[in-house]
Amino acid sequence: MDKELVAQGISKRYGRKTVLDHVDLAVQPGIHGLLGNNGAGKSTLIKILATAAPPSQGSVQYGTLQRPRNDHQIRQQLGYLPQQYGLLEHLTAREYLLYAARMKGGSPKSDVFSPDKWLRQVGLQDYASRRIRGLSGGMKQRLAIAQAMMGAPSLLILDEPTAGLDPDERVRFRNLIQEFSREATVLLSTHIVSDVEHIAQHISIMHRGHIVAHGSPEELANRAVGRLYEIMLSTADWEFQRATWMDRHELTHGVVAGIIQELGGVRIRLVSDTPPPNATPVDEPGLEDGYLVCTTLDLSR
Amino acid sequence: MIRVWLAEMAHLWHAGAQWITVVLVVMGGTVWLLPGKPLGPFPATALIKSSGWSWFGAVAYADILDVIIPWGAVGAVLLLEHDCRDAQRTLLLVWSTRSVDWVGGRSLAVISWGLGWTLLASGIPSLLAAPVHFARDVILVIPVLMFLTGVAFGFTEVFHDPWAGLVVSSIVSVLGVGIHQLPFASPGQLEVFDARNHLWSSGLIANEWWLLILGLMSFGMGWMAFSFHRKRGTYQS
Repeated sequence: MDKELVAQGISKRYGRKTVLDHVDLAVQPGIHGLLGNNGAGKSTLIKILATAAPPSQGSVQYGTLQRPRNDHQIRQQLGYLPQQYGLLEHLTAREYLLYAARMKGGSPKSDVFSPDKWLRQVGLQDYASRRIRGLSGGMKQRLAIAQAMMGAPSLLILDEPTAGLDPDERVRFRNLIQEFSREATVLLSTHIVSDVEHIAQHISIMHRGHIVAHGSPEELANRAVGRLYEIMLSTADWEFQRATWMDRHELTHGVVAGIIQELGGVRIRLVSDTPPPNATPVDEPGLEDGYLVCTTLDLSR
Repeated sequence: MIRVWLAEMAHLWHAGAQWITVVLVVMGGTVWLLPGKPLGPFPATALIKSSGWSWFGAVAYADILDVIIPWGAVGAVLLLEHDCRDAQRTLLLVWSTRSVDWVGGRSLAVISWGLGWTLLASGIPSLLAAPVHFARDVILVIPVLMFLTGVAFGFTEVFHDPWAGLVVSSIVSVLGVGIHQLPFASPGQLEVFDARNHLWSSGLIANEWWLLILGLMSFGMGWMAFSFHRKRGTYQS
């Protein structure tokens, strides 16, 4: 249970293109969020950690097990949800989980490999006999999550797990992961801040093949303390300036974190190293603000 | 390996392979019943001599037994191996099955499937037209089946594309008209077909052994290719 997943100096190159550049990452028991925009290199790193692809350089260790020497032993303790996966669409949901259980080396009669148990966990018990090709995108995603959790692995790696899930399913998923993480190390990669904001104990932020920041959600949010501002514009002013406002301000002051239309005006939230004119500081930044600071302001220094 | 075999057999069944069986049993049954008596698997010259069939007709008939029916087993390989396309293999690669167990289990599944329906295809009609030695003679089909499924599996794994398996096994089937003669004799030689009249002759058995060895080597090639691609992360690029 107290196993740490450690990646050191991981680089990945495809021809001349470097996708990961000397990435170090330590994932401790509990939930670790890997946050980054599309193309940051998250999925490549995840594939390497999940034994699905080799690094060009660097080492991966899970407890005392090392890649690639102990790949089989790592896989025995691994649950993995890739970003892109194919389910065997001609099987029913139960048949698929039965197939997964056997391929993972478990007995479907045991509780941790019971297809019915995992179908219940992800709310698909009523669809157990339906062929996968007839399930919605969200249901397929839940089925893929079920196969990852099946066998109660001590290491769970999830790449964009909430893609395709509706708001209710997201909440259900977060609760499920939180419960699961009591006895496992969970690495959850996403570009959606709210996926990890309230459940991850640690978060690493990736940007262009590098880990640019890591810490608790609070620590990362605090990176924006003193650098988060709001500007109120009247609706008339906003309508007059909206075509050029963002370009001008992003060029001179910082990054716009949000534009909120309100009664009688527009509230613009932005992160900046210097106070923009007519702006008021905001005291309580969120993780999204901290993320923007890490991937923009701190990098331009 | 056994659990993989079980999983793959169930997978095959649910993937619709039972329809291949139905078609081949009907086809095999029709072919067997046509001459009105049970036959050994490869009686080309016997047909020419005793039934007055044309050389072309006899060879074509023998090839149905020799090639087309065992070649139907390739369908099972392709049904299972379809998972190496797109992202379907991603999950399979990280499930904790050793490469050797995976290849062994999947190979066993396609071989036992192929054998199962071959026995059915030959057995049921032969039983209808008893007396028979079908069970013993069908053993002679096993090397052909092993060879064709091995080639289909091996080349699919090497190129991680079921089309490669289909194309290569098709070429091998076409080139080896009367594939029992591969790799030693030309199908045009009469003595080759004479071997069909002596099912358990040493010449035929020698060819069977070679086919069996080549089949096993093809499965071995598939295992090496799968291990190589899994380690290299080919499917993940």
